[in-house]
Amino acid sequence: MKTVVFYFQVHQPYRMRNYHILDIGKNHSYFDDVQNIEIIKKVAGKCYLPANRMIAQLVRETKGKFRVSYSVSGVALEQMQKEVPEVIDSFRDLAQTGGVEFLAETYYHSLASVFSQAEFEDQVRRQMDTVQRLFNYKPYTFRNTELIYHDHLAWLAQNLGFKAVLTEGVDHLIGRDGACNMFKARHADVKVMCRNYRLSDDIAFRFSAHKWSEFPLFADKWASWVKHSPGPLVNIFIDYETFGEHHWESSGIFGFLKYMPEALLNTGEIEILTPGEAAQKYAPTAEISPPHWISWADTERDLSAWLGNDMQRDAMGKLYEMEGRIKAANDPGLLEDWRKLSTSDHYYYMSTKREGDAEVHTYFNPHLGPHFAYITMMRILNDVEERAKKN
Amino acid sequence: MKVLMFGWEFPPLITGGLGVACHGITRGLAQLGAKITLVVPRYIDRSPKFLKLVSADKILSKRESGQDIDLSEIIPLISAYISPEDYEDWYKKAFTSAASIKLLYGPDLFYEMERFALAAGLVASKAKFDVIHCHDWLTAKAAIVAKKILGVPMVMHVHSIENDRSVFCNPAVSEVEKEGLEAADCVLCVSRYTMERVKKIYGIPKSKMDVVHNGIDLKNCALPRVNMSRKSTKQALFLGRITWQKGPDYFVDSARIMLEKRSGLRFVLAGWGDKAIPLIDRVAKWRLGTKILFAGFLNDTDVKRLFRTSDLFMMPSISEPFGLVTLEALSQGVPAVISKQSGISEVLDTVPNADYWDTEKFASFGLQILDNPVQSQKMLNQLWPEIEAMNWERNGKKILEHYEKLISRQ
Repeated sequence: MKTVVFYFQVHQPYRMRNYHILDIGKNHSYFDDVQNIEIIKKVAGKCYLPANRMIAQLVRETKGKFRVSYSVSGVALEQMQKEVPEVIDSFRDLAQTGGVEFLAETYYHSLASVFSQAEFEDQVRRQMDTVQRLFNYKPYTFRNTELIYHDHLAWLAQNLGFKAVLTEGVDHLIGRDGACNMFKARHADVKVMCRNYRLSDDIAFRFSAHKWSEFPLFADKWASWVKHSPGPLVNIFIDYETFGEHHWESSGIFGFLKYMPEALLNTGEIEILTPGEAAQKYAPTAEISPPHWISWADTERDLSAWLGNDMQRDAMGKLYEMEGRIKAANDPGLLEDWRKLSTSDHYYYMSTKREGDAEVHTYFNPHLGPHFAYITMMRILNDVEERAKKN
Repeated sequence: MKVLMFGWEFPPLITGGLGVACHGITRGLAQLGAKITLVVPRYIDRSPKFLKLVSADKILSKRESGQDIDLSEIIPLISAYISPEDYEDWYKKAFTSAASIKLLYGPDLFYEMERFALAAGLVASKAKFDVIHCHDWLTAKAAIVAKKILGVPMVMHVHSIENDRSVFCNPAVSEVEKEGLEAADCVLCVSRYTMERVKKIYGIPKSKMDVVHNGIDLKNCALPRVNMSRKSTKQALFLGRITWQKGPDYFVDSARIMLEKRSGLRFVLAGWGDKAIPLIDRVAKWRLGTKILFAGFLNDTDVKRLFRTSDLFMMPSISEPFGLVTLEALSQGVPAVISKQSGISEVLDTVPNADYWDTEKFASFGLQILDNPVQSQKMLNQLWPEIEAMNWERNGKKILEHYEKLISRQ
């Protein structure tokens, strides 16, 4: 029997607005409310609501044989509560099916695990409390921002009582088919599950790629690949927005989702479990210990998507350098703003890996591209620093 | 006095000092009774009443469609007298709408220049003028054409030369510049600094050159007050295009030196240009991103507001024919350190200046200014009458004298 594990990532940041130089010291609203509301509403309509409805139905139809897990960032939950509470209701409905596991993560979808243990623990606890309060569910498996992982992360997770964490299946660490094993962290009593990026990306990236030799992808074709892939574990970890947002409804992605559980279960050789259940079932067969931080981002699969250039290192370095002063200031509003600024997306926007076109645009228009993201963030951090001083 | 003037920029279609100066010069002359026809490539919004604005585009398209040009389209028929309210109204509109660089400097500047000269010929053959006055190289060809037709004296006004604008001079631009300077009966430079360069680079004799400094429209501005507050975060400002000519890299280099001594300072670069991205990278590499801030391009109103929150203005231009922005800073009560390679440094000789590359000196002057606002106020008190006198009317008088001299010589 082969075990397939599904985990869907749900996250929406508070995107920054074009914070003006003259706002410093006067105006402390840093985020583009209009754009953020627009986006959460759009994604709710295209993805969260229809996908939740379908998955709840599939779990019920299969009497729980199809089961999934979600990691929902605290900032996404916050925005849903305010702007699209019906999404919260539909997640609550999913929780009630009994076939859904909610994972723990950092509330602000941040890189706190890399920079500050205290902040990391605060953010994880807060996200768990929110999940508990909204869905009456206590997370017991951990998933770090963008599957960022290192030995240190396993140790942090262990300190918070987690028995299992999720990360990326990086070929050069675990071998080409390594992701099918259950791993144990070095120096921590924590199981580690690695993403099968090939079978995950067949859905997440290649599904609507017309030039792909396997296009179009049907559920039974994909199920047969799963069946013939090495076992015992097949970890399918993808962004939830894959359904309806990255691939539009017209691509047939919902049809794929609808028939996929049946196609898997009909093989007679596949069972579906949530991450926590799989971690209980399987004993580790190997140890994992990456020489540096890994993640699921970009081809490098490391931290370079957020800390790859000087702008990113300056910005995030400054942010965490302020932590002590921000917390000493004892100003809840200031702390909240500072934390929203720790969301990884802000630093991702500063990445210059995809230079070329983006750089050309920046040359002509300061309101686009990585350099713009950086100089905007630095104006905001200057104001944040001033506020901390005043207290 | 009927003046046929050729300009490339005029409010609201301006990208920098040239348009501002052109506006000031024409207004100063108009106040003294000159009747000016100003030909520009194109204009948006209506023409102010103190001159006749002529669009070269319009003239050319009329000719292409076989229509005749009406004299009223060229000659200012109304008297140059303008009511202050009317002017104020136009001025406000003109200086608050943003200019489009694309509209002024299209993809093929030489083609535009030739077209402009063609329109100049059409205008010149339609009416009589006493004198021709052009501004910088883009309008030189037009003036030469008009001079051939009208046979009246030609004045070339030099706001900047190709050597000021880029590291690698475009020889084709220099060629046009030279032609214009040689054809002109009188060359007016915005500073002695520029006049010396024109003499050195183009061999134009000083006998046919003179200096007319730019002016500033202070509109009964009171003596500016330097900010005396003891706030912890003092702010130093760079304002202008972030390009080679303006020396923004010397600004950030000085900033770094100053920050080593006083970590609480804030530096702001307002503007944008092809040097912005590499400079942002440099600041990030130094990990000084929260200390040296990039504001992006700001409009006129925001620039004024930014001056009000600043304690120091630094202009390390590599070559600045005049440097009007220094006057703007001072008139807002912001003390300045300026480049020796600027025209303004010869006028305001008590304003601290240094060679543009001398970042140590810029930094130490900067710190001294930030530490001694009282001293800066004293300096400003002494300078103020001189700054007030630098108005466009005074410059207009000087230009008019040159016109008269040229005409009487004919």
